[in-house]
Amino acid sequence: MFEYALRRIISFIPTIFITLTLIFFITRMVPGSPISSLVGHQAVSAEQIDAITRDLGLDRPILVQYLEWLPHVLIGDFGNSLFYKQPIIEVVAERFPVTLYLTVFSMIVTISIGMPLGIYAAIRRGGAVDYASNAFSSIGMAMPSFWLGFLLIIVFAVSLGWLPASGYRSPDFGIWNWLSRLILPVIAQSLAQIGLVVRMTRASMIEVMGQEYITMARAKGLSETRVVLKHALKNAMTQITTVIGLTFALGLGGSVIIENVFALPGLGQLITIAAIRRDYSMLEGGIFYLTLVALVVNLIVDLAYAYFNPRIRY
Amino acid sequence: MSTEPIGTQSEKLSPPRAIAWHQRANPMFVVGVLMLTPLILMAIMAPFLTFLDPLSINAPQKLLPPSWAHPFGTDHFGRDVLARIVYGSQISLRVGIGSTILTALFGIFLGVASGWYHWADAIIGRVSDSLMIFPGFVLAIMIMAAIGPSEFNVIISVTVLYVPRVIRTVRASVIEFRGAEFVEAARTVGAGDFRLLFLHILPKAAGPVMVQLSFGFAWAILVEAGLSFLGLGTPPPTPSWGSMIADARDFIRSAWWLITVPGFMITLAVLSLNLIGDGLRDMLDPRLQSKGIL
Amino acid sequence: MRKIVLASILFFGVLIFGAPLKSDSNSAHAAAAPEQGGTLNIGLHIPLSTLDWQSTVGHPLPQVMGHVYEGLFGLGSDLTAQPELVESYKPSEKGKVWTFKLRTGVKFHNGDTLDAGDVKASIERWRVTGPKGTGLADLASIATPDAHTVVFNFKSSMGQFLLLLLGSDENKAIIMPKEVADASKTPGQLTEVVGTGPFRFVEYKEDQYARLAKFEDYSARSDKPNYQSGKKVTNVDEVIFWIVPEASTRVAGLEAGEYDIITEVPDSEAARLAKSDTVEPVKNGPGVLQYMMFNHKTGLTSDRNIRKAFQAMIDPAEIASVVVSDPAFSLTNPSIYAPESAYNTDAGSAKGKSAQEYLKAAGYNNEPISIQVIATSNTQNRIAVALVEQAKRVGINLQIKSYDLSTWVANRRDPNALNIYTSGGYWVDPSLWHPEFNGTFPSKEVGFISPETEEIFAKLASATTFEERKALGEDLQTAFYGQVAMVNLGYIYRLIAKSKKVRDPNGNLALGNLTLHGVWLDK
Repeated sequence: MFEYALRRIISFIPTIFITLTLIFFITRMVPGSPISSLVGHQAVSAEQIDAITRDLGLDRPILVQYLEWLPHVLIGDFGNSLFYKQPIIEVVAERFPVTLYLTVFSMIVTISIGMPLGIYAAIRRGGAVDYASNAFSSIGMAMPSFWLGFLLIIVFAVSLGWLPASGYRSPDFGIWNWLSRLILPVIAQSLAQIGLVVRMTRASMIEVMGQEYITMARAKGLSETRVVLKHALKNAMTQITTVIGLTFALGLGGSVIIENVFALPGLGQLITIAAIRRDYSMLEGGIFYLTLVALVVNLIVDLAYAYFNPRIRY
Repeated sequence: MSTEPIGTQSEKLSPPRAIAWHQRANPMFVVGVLMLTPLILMAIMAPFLTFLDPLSINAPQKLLPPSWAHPFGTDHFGRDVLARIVYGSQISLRVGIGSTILTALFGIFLGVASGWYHWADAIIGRVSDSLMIFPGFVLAIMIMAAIGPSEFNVIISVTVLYVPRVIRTVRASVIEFRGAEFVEAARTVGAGDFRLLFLHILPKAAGPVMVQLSFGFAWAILVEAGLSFLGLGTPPPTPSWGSMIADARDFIRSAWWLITVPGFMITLAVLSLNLIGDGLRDMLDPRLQSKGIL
Repeated sequence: MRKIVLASILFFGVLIFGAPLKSDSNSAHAAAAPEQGGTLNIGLHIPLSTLDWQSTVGHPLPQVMGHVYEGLFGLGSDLTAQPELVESYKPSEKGKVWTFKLRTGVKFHNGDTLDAGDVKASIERWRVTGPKGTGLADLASIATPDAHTVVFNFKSSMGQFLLLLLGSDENKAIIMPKEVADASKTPGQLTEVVGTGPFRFVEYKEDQYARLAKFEDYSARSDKPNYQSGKKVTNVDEVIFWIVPEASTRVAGLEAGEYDIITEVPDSEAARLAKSDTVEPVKNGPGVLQYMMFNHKTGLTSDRNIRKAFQAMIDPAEIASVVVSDPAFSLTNPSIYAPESAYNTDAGSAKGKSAQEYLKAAGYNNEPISIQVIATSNTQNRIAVALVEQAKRVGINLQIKSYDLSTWVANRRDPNALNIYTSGGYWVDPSLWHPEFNGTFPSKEVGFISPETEEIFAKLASATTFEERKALGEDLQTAFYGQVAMVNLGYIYRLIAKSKKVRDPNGNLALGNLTLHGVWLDK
């Protein structure tokens, strides 16, 4: 297992390398440069622009820039953000809690609603709950999350006035101040994910429930609850874990739309704005972070496979 | 976005075994088709459904609530919302169809190549793995920020993001049938690579690819709406459902009709396509979903 | 003293503005005695791009840093330059030499005392790093004969010097300690935020909030409160600027009582907010001119007839009504000077021939002309949509090109990309048009310049009486309109909103960028 994990980690390296290289060249080849965002709306002379370009080292051949840049990023040093004037890691670290809270809470809501619903729908296949949960998950997945976000704001913040409409407060400002601002985004984020988890759970459970060993377990006179939860669910967990893991990874990448609608200073906004401003180092660092999160979650999912499905041996 | 395509480890999972259509039309498929048909008709028949120009502004008529003359009211330019919804369906469908065609072309070509030739797999597989680990929407924004907002560029960015998933599906089918008896038989009677692939193997992959593409279509509509919402999609004044929602932000209290109708239309379009995809998949093999192949 | 001040201003005699704009709601509360303490929560529409105000223009640096820093001069409520850190001053030789006496005993937030060295270092830094600092190109030297005297020597007449120091209220020539200015040579790289203002900077959490606290050792002027000048009174202990980019959520936050004041309120909310028991809208002046700018050097728009056609086709009333839904917040006015400005004039605004005739003269044959907009700017998008429709009516094939900010800025400079863009601003003095129309803005390859207007600008630099300047201002406008340097699309007003608990006895919130002096919280 350990050897397998190590092998996977080593296999990440080319992926990261390719990704970073692609990003380096793509960001520098597209029109627009960080300088135009840096100088903003102002009248600056061509000489001033040349000077800034030289300062940033952007006047040299792109290959030279790349060869100088590569050794640094391979050891994880992305330098300072052009705009935030802070090391990339610090900027990311500042945003990370927001994204983490949003992701973790959404996952808790998603799993605690999605899995029981999926299991129940699988057991009572064709029943009212099955149809209702299918309709619920289909609609949840089809609604654009920004639209859903606005509907939630209109209902809960504007009309009822129960919750704040947006913004983020760190827990230093009081638990309720912090938590109340996460409720609506978490609902908006969860709704689409629940659909996915319900469907995955239902499909996997139906498949597992048709297997011989479930029939055997039933024949042995085990209670239905025990059969479902102990035997069927454990086996179905392999697939469910995959979906949950990947959803988690996507969440940690930051949800641009949800962050935009609810004015949350998370990583999705950070990386998108970096792309828009052509903040090269920020963008590269942000993408490196996304890659890393996705790979780590992939790894965890793989390892969970082994746990839930002892037949798999690496 | 709601339906972030989820990449899974197909190498861990067995590829589709039974590629056989179940005879009965699946109810989800039927409902999906019934919902999608009016939307397609709406896009085609747009000039006959409304005589109002979705672009012409009429300041004295602005922000009128729904009435007989304007069933969905008017926006802040005095433009008829119904007309914009009707013409907006053209954008959604054009982006959906355009990116589906491009995705199919590139997906099949690259998928076949990477399933058939090991050397191609090394490159295509790596690049598409790299693409797939990103949150799709963040990547779409970056692409749009790079190449600039336009309808065609939305199609390109959706294609770039969705192609890896089609490649993976095609690749799995090709690998499965590469060593199959009927392929060997065809080979012994002298069929070349090209003939084998396109006449014998690809038709077997048609089912899963179609399912994948119908989800891709739905996803394209969501992405177009999302990008337009962020101002990175179809530029004004062309009516797009996503940008209609973005424009309506300022009026969520004073003119509710501006935000509700386009959102409802997006939901309807995406829902119908997802249902078609689900239906197709169930008709094909309900177990594909739990296998993580689709 | 006051007399000397007035007499020596070069645009003197007449106050540029009439009575300051007043927020209706304030008069009723004005009599109540200000309560002390409390935290003012502000919902700010845009995050701080940097903490280095000297190096940048634009929101929200004036709103936040305007409370932390002070300049030699500040804006008065009539939008003229009024002494802030300066005790008295004297121009000589037609404005070539300016001598400033600084106030004594002014403390920086780090405990140091302000002296001439700090001023010299700060102005020298601003001159290099400040977008508006480029206006000091003709500055020959800064002398500091004693600790509280600063002498500016120019190569030519600088009639607009005091106004330049205000940086159009966007990039003020603020004063920081010499050590900080010297250690922060690179634009945007400020080592420390230390000013002399009534609030000191506490912290900025990227995209979350900026926090300021009352500066207990603040040394206020003794003359009466006058917007950014005069005696500044601080009644609250703390100000937190929350970054809330989404307008609808800012409004909801205000109504829910999370914020006491919010900036950039959509005008569509004005009528509704006006009916509220707890909050109220505040119309924020002066009117912001929306204008169309051209590529003057290459392409179709370099043809004066094409530009004339645009000038002739514009229906500002229609633009105003689609850009701003509440008519109270827009104004069509023929002038390039703010409607509230004494320079406001209709000179040269007669339209001439019809758009079609100009198009014919230009030999226009339905070639596409593009107007570039920032995708995320509501105002620009709305203006562009209206312009496309108006162009269609006269037979111009105008197309919108939508970009993100950095591409927009890059393309604006690029002669091969730019045809037309729109922007906004307010001008309270003719000289202030010069940076925009001296042939370098947005770049040499596209910018407007003409011998005729250069001559007028040169005369303005040494014109000393208001009548003289007013006449030159009219000439300038006539020249701009004649050559179609730009096209006036009408004026829009900004809107902020506040809780009724917020009392603003001086009406500062109705004017310019957010200014909180004198504001207090009724608990």
